[in-house]
Amino acid sequence: MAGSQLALIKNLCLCYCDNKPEILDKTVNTVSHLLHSEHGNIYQDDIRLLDKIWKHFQKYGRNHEMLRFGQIYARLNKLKVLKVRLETLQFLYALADTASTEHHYDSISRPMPTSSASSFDIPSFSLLSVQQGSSNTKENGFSHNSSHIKSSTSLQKLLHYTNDDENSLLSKTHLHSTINNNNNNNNNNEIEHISSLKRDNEESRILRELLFGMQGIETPRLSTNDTNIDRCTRSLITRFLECGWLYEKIRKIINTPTTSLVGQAFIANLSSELREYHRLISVIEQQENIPGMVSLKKLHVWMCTPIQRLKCLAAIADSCQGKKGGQLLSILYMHSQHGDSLQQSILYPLLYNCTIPIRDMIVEWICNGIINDPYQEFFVSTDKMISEEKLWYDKYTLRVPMIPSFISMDQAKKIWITGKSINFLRVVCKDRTMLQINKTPASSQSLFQQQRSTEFQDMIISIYNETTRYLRSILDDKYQMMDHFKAIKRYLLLGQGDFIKYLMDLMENELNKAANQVFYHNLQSLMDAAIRVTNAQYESEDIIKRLDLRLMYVSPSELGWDVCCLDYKFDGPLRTIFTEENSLRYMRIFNHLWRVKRMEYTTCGVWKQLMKSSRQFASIPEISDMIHVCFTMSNEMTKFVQGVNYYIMFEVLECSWSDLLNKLMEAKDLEQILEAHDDSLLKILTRLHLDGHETSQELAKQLRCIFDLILNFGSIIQRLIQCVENELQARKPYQQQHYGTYTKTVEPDAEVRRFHTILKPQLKTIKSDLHIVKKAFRDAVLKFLQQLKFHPDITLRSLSFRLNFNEFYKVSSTSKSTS
Amino acid sequence: MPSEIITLQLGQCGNQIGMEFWKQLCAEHGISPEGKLEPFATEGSDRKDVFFYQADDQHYIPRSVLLDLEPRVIDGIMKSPYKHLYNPENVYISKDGGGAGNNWAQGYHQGDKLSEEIFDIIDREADNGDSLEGFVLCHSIAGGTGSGMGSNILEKLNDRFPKKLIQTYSVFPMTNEVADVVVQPYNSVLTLKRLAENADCTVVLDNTALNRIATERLKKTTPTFAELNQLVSTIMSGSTSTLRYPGYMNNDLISLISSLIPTPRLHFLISAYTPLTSDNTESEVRKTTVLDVMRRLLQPKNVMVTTASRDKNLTHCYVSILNIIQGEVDPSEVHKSLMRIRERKLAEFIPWGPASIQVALSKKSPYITTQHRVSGLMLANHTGISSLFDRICDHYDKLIKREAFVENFRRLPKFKENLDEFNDSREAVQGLMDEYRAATRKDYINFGNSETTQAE
Repeated sequence: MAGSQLALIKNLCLCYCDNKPEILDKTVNTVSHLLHSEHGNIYQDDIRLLDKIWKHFQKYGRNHEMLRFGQIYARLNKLKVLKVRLETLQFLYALADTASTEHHYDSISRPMPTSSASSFDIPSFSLLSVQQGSSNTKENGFSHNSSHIKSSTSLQKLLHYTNDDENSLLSKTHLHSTINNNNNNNNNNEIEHISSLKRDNEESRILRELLFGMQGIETPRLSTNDTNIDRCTRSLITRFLECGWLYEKIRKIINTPTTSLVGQAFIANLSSELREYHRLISVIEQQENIPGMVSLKKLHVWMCTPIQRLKCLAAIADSCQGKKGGQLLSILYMHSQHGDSLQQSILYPLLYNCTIPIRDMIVEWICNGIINDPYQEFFVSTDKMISEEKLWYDKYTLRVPMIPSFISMDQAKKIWITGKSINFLRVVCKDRTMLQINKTPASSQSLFQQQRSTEFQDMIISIYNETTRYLRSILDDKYQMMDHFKAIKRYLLLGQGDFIKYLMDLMENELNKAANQVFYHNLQSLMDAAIRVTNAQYESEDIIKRLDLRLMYVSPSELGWDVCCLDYKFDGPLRTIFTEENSLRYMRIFNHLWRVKRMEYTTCGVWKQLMKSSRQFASIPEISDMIHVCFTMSNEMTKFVQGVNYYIMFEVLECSWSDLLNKLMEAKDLEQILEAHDDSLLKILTRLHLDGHETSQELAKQLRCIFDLILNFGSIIQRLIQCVENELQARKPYQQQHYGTYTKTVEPDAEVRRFHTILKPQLKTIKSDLHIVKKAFRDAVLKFLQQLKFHPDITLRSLSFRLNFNEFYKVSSTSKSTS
Repeated sequence: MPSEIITLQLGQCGNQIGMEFWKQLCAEHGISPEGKLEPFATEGSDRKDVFFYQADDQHYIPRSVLLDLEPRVIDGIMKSPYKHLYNPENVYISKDGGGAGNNWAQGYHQGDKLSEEIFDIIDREADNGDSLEGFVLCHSIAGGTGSGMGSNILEKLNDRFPKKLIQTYSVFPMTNEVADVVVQPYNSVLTLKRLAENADCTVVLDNTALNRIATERLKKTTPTFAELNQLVSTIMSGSTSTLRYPGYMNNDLISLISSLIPTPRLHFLISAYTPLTSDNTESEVRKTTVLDVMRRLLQPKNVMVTTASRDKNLTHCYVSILNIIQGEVDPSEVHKSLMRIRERKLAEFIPWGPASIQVALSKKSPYITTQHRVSGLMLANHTGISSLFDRICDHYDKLIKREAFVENFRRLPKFKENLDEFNDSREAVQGLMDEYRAATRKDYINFGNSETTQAE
């Protein structure tokens, strides 16, 4: 022993002996003996070794042998003949270890532990050992705890049994007796023995009180202000009493009634945690009966983890109060995302158990489309009042706050859509086929441990794919969705040009009437006639049956042209895709396209009339210049209308159609189909300046103004042709007289007079009318182009490019006239 | 069946190109040479009834009238696999079978004489449809039957069907070498007047250019008539494709031509086609985009009329352009291509009115496989066409100065008294050329106004 060390010990002993040198030497001797003694470790090692052996038994589940071993060991202890007890045990343990290797494979085949310690671990407290591996015996959650607890309690019993047998009368600590035995210095030991007894008495009193306090029971006899107790102990007491407070807090939360399945699971879990805690306390209580087994300091060490555990539980329970369903899960999940492995281990079973109800709901929903959610915890909610037609849109809504944070929005939507699809199939499509889904429901932990296993994701995706594929096949095959889309394009979007053209031919007279004189039945028979003779006749019967007409709201100033709309009737599930709202949109689009077509029809008609009449009118050279003006105007208008038409065809209809087709091809679920359809409709509306935007309304107004001018021009041409034809008719007698075939004489003077008094004034007014229309048309087109320039939609801006391809119209803010 | 079109095939050339046209249509619609629908032709989005009608036994019969003054060509057709295609009542060969002897006057006179019988056929055919849209006339303007009888029929059609459109596919003779028919310039000028005054739309098929294209593009040293006719039938089927495959636009003849033709006389359209392949040539397959197609269509070497871009201090320009693009096309390409063409100024347009390249998309026949993803046809109204008339007039003027070969004409009614008809026609053609030239200028808007403005 180094001198300095010896000096220090002497100093210490001096203090201990109250400066009585007579006992100093003895004390120093004892102390140094103690310090040098190897036997101080015996007990310690003994216990540790025993612990190992217990564990060994536990590991292989030989509880029975364990019991037997305990009895033998107790007897061995009593015998006291065996001096090398430790060594013997070691030997035996080593034997067991080598023997067990052959059993090792058996153990692997058993379900192996998956998580770290998650509950109050009794052996670790009772035997003071490091927790190494002890917790491994648990598989998951609670199911395994019971067996584990059984083994540890039996251990406790054993320990009791040993101690009672050995020293029931002495009832003093084993440790001391052992030391006494080994140290032959009886006198000194006596003194120490008594003082430690005193302390022990005090401590065990505190301990006993504490054990109550730790269970939240008031302990008036234990006060932190008690001056008899030293400061160190006081702080320890405070620490232990905190347990009690935490326990009480958790217990209160448990006792609050809850209306939530997840909440119930949560509370069940909390109470089982408390049960574990109780068990711990009771174990300590039992230990406490064995003198020297429990001390405040030991308790402090033992309670270290349990306190953290309680704290953590209390904090979680606190934050979860009043929450339910997915929200609660989100909070738990948030807490579990913690670096501390203890906290993780606490939360794992919590999350596991609380996720089960939601998991079950998800499985029920995506497999059967049923919402089994008495407490509104699921993130899909249902409204029973919603009708069949609106089922897809409004019946089931996504409760975003109820989506557990470990489920991504994308997954939640997929789940939502899968269940909706099933209901859609059942209710709207009247299809009751049960989809064979060869997928076992995902385990609960795969929901919140998605980074570890894709089980949940796989389940969702596979069921989603299966369901949506089936729904798509029903829509495609049973309800011919694509055919209807194509029919819409052909009829409502005027793609079936020959039909539309002929329909116009047939309806022209009818539609020229005032809107309130246009009757559905008249038009309907005309439409049927158009279907019969055009390529529409080759359409499937179903599509033809759906084609219909609709007369829109009639205001007195409108013509049949403005109110007549083609309509396409939908029923069943198609009603979900082509809703009433969409039908109205299609009607607006149709109305616009129809109007532009009518302009095309008008300009073509004017062109033809001019073309054919101009040959007859060659005999009146006076009007040739006027005819020429008419032609150039007609050309301008034709180009304008054609420009608008080409724009509509390419930039609006064809582009959005090819877009829609692509999207429909890719679309997996109904939601995507609806989205694609909606997108394409909106695109068409915007590009046809029907979207209600301010600039669009201006454009629409201006376009109507231009169209009115075209119609006006058409009627002027009618007048011109009529009046020239009258003139030609009037000239006939004179000409025939000229050729000598007509007998009645006609005065040449009368001819000239008529020409000057009737035709000329008529021509003059027509000429001035033409001039006005011409000027107005140019101005209107310029203004239209100007407006297009500033429209926010780029596609619509490209219309001006088309209309003014050769830059004939000088679009600028200043120039108004072009020629 | 609305918007039917009746095809009139006149003379040797008219019947030959007509036959090629029907061959092409049958192939495109999946109709066998006997008129039966092929079993594979089930696709059904095409409109066959514009050009065909169905007999009681469901056979498809072309709405076609075959007329000739000599039997050779029609006999040839009647010996071909297509002999059962046509309605035999619609085939008319003059009984004396002497032909018109390449004489316009002879053809015109015969047409007059036979008009009753001819119009019986045409009237019957016209009554056959629900609402006839118009007539398409295939003929050559150089020979006797197609030009002479064609002129006669054109005049009468206008009187008899004043509301129907008349479109002609007129083959113009070679002008760059000695003609095989000496009176060809006479025939041409006389027919041109009728085309200018009585037709609503004339698609000019210039033999010179057709030969050039056949030799250059198809690498043929001496193209056969059959090959040239195939080129013509390609143009004809292409330009009618939008009528046969209904879509949003251009479903009838009038919407097709009304935007191309601004004023009554400016109705001579040039055409171009790409890519051109004949049956036995392996042309390299290129990736064809819409822009490629549109650009190539504007290249003079693809245009089926040899025109000058400049003459007499004028820059000729396009009055209007219609591109019919067939095949699978991304519609968004069209706009980009148009932008590019305008940027590069690949086409010059008239200064007196709005004009643009109109693009029509048309389906390709599913029954014909081609190497090309996309093909394009251009129908355009170009003022440069006047140079073609100019060349014809040059030849005409040289002949008429010497009054060469007029004796053959004098024998016939229209020329018995005087040769005014020649002068009238020449004047009319001059007027046509003048109008085309005027259309290059900004003041065309006031064309023909001068005298009235002076008068007022």
